[in-house]
Amino acid sequence: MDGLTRFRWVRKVVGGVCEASSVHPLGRLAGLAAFVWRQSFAPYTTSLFLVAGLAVGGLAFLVTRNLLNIAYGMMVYVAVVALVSSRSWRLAALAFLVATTLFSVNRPMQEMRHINNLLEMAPFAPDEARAFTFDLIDFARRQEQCGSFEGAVLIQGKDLAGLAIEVEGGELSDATPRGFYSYQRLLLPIRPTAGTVRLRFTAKKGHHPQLLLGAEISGNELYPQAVYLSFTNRHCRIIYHAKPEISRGGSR
Amino acid sequence: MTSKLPRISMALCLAATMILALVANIDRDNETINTKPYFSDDGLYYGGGAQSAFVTPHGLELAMVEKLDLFQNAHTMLYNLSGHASHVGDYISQYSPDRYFTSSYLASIVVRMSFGAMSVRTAYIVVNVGLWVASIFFIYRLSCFLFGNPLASLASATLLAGWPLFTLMYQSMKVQYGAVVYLLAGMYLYEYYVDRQPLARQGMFALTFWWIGLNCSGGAAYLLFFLAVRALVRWRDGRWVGVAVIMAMLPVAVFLQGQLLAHYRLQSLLQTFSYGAVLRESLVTLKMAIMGESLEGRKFLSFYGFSYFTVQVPRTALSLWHGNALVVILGIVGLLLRRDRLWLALVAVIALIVGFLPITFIGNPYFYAQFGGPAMVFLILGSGLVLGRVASFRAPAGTIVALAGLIASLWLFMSSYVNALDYFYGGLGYLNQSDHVYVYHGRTLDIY
Repeated sequence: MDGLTRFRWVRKVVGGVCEASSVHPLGRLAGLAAFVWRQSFAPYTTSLFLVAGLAVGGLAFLVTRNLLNIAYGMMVYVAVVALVSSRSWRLAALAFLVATTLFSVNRPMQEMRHINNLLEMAPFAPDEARAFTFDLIDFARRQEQCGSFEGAVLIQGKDLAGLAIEVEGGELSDATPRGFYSYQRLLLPIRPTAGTVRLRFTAKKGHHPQLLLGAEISGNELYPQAVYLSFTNRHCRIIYHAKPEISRGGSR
Repeated sequence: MTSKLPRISMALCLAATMILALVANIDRDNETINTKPYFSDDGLYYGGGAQSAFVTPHGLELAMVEKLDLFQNAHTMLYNLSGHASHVGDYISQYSPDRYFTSSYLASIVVRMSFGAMSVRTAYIVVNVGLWVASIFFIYRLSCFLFGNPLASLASATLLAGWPLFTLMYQSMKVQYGAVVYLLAGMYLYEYYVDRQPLARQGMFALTFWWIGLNCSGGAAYLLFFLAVRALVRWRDGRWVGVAVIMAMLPVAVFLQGQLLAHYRLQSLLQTFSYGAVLRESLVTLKMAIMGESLEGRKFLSFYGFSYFTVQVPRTALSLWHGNALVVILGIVGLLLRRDRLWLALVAVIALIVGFLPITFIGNPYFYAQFGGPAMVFLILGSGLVLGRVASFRAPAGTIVALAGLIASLWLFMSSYVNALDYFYGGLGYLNQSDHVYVYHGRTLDIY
């Protein structure tokens, strides 16, 4: 082989044209066009696809100004172009880039309801009493199933040592509040003596106790104040929530 | 038929595990549930760290505060923002946003695929299930590549399918396990595709993939160490130039990421690390220890004295044991079985230490068992190899023993919902250790 025919692509040109001489002129033309595409652009298709991606990304920025979304689209696109040589995969990636960066979707945010701010407190007024009534549903059955429990009243808030607590349907033991973040947590051991436990909280003189307002929910019901009962052993834990009944003037 | 028995039975086991895991967990928003105070006596916010709720036809559903950014950012990804005078505030974050941007992007893509018909909350479920399925595929293929044993691959895939790290998180928006998916995807793509590309294309791919990893729960850090160890240990492969090109793209990706966050006036996770201060103090502590001086009040890697090594590292390792003791035992045996794959054991150890470095550099010694996730990936691969070899040893006895081991491992992962939550979010008994939790709101009962 000498001259230009020592290059494989030249041999392909010569061979291709010669082989095509027996086919339909239009087919020959199409073959020639395909050959010109392959020889002219095939080595550069990665660059071409990158340029196309940049063009789409630039256009998307002009249209939507959503830079983060465009950056993600570009990164995914370039990763695909870098990893696969198949033209159909690269075209699919380009279509993905166009679809995800040039077009917007107007999906409204789902409705939300604000309930409480984290660490928001409900202070006790001097003459205020808050009562929580817990029906110990299934308690006996769970005890049979799981064994005996250690019970506790759990309270989160501030100045919890200033809470005067009365209990009906159980026996409370004393405990000291422990600091937790910017508030306190009080864990009072309790032994229930009836099927219903009623706790009544008032503020001791000279104290300003507050209860943490949470966002405990069941269905549409809100259980906002951080007072609940917990019965625990190694196998099971039972939690009872209740809503407060608030009264003024110290009456029950 | 006899030769097909191990493969058919293991494939059935994988299918059954996937169905069981999906049915048992798809309807629970564990991301919110785990923040409820009654999963811990040590105290969490009453109401589950929430201050608002989604309004649904079935009632209110709490939205834990940490997921709201992800929820809103997924919507923003869909919008045309050209009407905004300033783009500061388009994307929001209470914490470092780049940890979880990828999860918002994936959810937005799913919503786009539905032409806006699907809600973002549902899209997140699709994303989580998709990432779980993808991870099963990745670990299957990786195991095939590393060990060439289809039974080992099936066993690894089955263990991953039952791993609470994924199965508890179908309704998650933070997608905290994203680093594990990223690591698996990165290892798979590297072994099967990237390694064989011309250098320029390796670099192109690396730039984009690093950037995605920087927005994916720290996934880039794990992949970095995997590639580094692989290149160092297997330097005779002669592919270190490619690895060097890939590594060189990391600072470029960090730069691009920094520019993007600056555009939105957001602070990167990397900017919250106090590398310099922590390392300076650690060096001084080390120097004092060498000089024989008192270390009272001195810290090494944010821990007093050298308790980083005596407390944090053992605790870290123990978290894996707590997660699944059998997988740890089988995994260690499996990683030591093949001499040419011993380097995977080294990567596992590094992944374990690296997992807990972010909190160390932030200076917060809080313990988070899920940081051991990337290390667990390698133990799952090792366990799969042991089970696969046993299964192929002699049918049907080998198959029966391997299936028993597989089911026992799955049992440790899946039998206790509360333990699984504990493993994922706390570890070592930080959370409640009761097997069952019954929560009453009046007469309404929720069982966990």
